[in-house]
Amino acid sequence: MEESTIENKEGSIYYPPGGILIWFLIILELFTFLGAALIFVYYRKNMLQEFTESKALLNPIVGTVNTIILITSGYFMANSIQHLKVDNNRKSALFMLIGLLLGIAFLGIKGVEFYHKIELGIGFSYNTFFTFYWLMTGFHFVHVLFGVGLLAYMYKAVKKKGYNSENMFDVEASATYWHMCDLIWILIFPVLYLI
Amino acid sequence: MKKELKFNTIIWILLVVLIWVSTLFSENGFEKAYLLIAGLSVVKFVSVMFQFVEVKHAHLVWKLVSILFVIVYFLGVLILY
Repeated sequence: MEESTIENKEGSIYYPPGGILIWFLIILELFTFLGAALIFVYYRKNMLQEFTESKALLNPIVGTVNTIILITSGYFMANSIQHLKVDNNRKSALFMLIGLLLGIAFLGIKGVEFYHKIELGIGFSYNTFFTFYWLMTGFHFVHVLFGVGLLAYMYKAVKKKGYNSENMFDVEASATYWHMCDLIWILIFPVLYLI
Repeated sequence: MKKELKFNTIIWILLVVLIWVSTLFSENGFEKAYLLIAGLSVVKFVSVMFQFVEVKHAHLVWKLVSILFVIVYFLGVLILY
């Protein structure tokens, strides 16, 4: 089994999974959402009644199902990378496609949730809770949307054998970006919907 | 590769279970639920980072960065809640 370029550099401080450039982005994004999540928790403490009432307007079950969809998408993306590492482009593309479709499903469910909120007149300026809600979920939505575009491009390229175990840097970076969307959601979902 | 695929599946099942357990804690609404929910988020974050992102194969620095980051999250929730 041939090892990829990234695998040969495995363990080097300059080559985290997906490459160092994507990690600059990941760290920047994660800290931005971390800050937002913690400021949200701080405001919650000071505006407990408003935040409790507003949280009741969210559906945690739909949110949970959507979280599972996004995590499952990440699982298929991780499997896609494993298949590409052994030059099984057919399976890699198939798993990537499933991950991509699950990403679209996540966006669809989130879109319906957004639509219902707008229909009820719950916009960005409704109250402090929903200002945070729109900022955090809205930015995350944009990230997933970009990720879906990225995966669609990678899917086509992997299917056409444009990438293989020797040349999979871009695919690994895209997968790392996709997992970043999972990681951000893991941080903000419990804060907004559960606690 | 088969070993990695197997680990991916185990972690995925663990994540799905933890996501549901977090929601159940939230729905029960007991006093310290937020602690358990934040704690489970730490486990979920580390699982995705180490298995799916493959930080487990990366340099120690990246492993530490990942763990320290999520500890800051947990402590932040703990202190500010």
